[in-house]
Amino acid sequence: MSPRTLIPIDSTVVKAVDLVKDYGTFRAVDGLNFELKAGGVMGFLGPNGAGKSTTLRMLVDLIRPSRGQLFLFGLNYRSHRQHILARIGCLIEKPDFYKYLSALQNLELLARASGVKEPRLRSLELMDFVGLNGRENDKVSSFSHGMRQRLGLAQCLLHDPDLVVLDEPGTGLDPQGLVDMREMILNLNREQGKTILLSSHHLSEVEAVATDLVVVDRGRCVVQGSAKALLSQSERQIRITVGRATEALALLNAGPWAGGGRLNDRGELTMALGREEVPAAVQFLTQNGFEVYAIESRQKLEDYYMNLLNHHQTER
Amino acid sequence: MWWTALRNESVKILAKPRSYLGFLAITLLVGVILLALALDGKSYIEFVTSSLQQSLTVEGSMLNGYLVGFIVLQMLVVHLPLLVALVTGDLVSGEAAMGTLRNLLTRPLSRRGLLLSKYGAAAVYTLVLLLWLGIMAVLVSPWIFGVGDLAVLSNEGLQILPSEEVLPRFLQAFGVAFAALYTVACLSVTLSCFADNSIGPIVGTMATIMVFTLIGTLDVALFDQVRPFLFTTHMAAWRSLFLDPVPWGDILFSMVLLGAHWVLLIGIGLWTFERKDILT
Repeated sequence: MSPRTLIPIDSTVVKAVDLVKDYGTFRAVDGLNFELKAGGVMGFLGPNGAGKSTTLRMLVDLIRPSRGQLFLFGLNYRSHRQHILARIGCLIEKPDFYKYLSALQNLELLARASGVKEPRLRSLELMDFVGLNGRENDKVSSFSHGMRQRLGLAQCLLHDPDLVVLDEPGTGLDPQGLVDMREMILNLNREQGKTILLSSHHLSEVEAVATDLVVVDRGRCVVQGSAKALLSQSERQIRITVGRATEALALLNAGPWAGGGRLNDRGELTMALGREEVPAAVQFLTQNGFEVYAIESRQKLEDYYMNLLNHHQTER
Repeated sequence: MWWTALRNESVKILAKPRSYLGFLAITLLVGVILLALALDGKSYIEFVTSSLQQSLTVEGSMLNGYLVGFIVLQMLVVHLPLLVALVTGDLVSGEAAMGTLRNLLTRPLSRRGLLLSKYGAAAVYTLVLLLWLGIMAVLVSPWIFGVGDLAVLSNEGLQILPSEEVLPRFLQAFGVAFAALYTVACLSVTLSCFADNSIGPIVGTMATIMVFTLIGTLDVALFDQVRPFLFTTHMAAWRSLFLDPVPWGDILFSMVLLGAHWVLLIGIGLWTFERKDILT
């Protein structure tokens, strides 16, 4: 492993400046700007096709930007490729391994490629960390998707990187697997001091670990900031569990709260309301024959994210 | 780091079942040829030398281990490009298809170093495959058929090489055959840099060999200028080592031309791979 210096907290680990990536005539990333500070967990969010994967691939030099600049640890890939990659571990899209090799052989091979001094020892250590001890000599072809995700996390930690880039690490995991993955990410950040860039569609998982957020849409940064600050700035969401929710939404949209409500993926009615408006909204619903079962006031990432994207897409 | 990368590539080639297809194919084909010659070798020799029988009287048998080895080489060297391309055409594109190229290219190793290790692994594989053919042709055949002078038919007529000269010539011939086969390996690794599946480079390599061979054999004035510079023209240069005197000038030209192909193909591969976006 190449020698490295410690990163001071609050120093910039990733800085993207007017990043552009074109595939022929299609612009996947369109002037993206964002920064990631050391020691944080950044949730990198956006709908499908927003340019997240393309951006992450540029971050680890799998694809080259068409324009713009990218700095990692203050350096760029053109002059310091190996130095930068020695400090980054990544799991991009899905964990792919040599199916004809065992899990341990796969890790050892990648550890050698990363310049790890004792590849076998380090591989065994990480198999233990991700909960795959006892399966070292099994061929990867016999592994479930969840086990491959764990092995994917292990491979990106082989060279003890400062920055860990995780693209959809929770895909295909069962509920226990998701909890384990969340705990491993928190452990890496809090116990081992690693900076994490996490892209995921599991918003509840991102919410549980992220200290910062970047939301991208159509290749551009929609918003960036600390998760706490962004969520506190957002309008408080009132979640109303009501019978015949679709009809209730139609009635509200035709009345005084037009455009203020939506149905979430569980069929519940959510509305951006001020505290003083809640009694009137409930009264309006009950007077029109709807049964209100529960009212919950909350600031969830999911609501914030959906509102943000709805506004952004309406503006465009 | 290059040696580490070469070691990794070798580990992968060793673990892949398709790597052994070539060895299995050579063993089977040599086995069939040896069996056929052991059972009916005399008829074969009579058929091959039929045009000379009016002017030549042979005492004893021309059929010996060295001649069988020579026949084996002549029959099999034309099949080796496919066996080489099967493995080397997969070295980059197979990893792209599997998704493992992502893992490798995000390691602190230069793209150039990684690709050169793959060209290195292709050289090792080609050499080992050729060595296996050599063992089968030059060690197993004499063990079954015994040794003796080697009778070789050429454009000049029948040439008899004393038995003590044969092994050194075989060794040199394997060197020249390696240069030709490694050109095929370089071609398939280079094509592999352009593709995201291994079928394309393998088919592409064989198609190139077929087209170049066709250009080389068609007696058309247009191709006369091109023919000496096609690598396929020099694929059988190893046979010249069994002529007397050996045309060293021609062999040197073949080696320089094949070497130039290596440099050109590796250069194209590096240029492409350094700029390739990894989207799989």
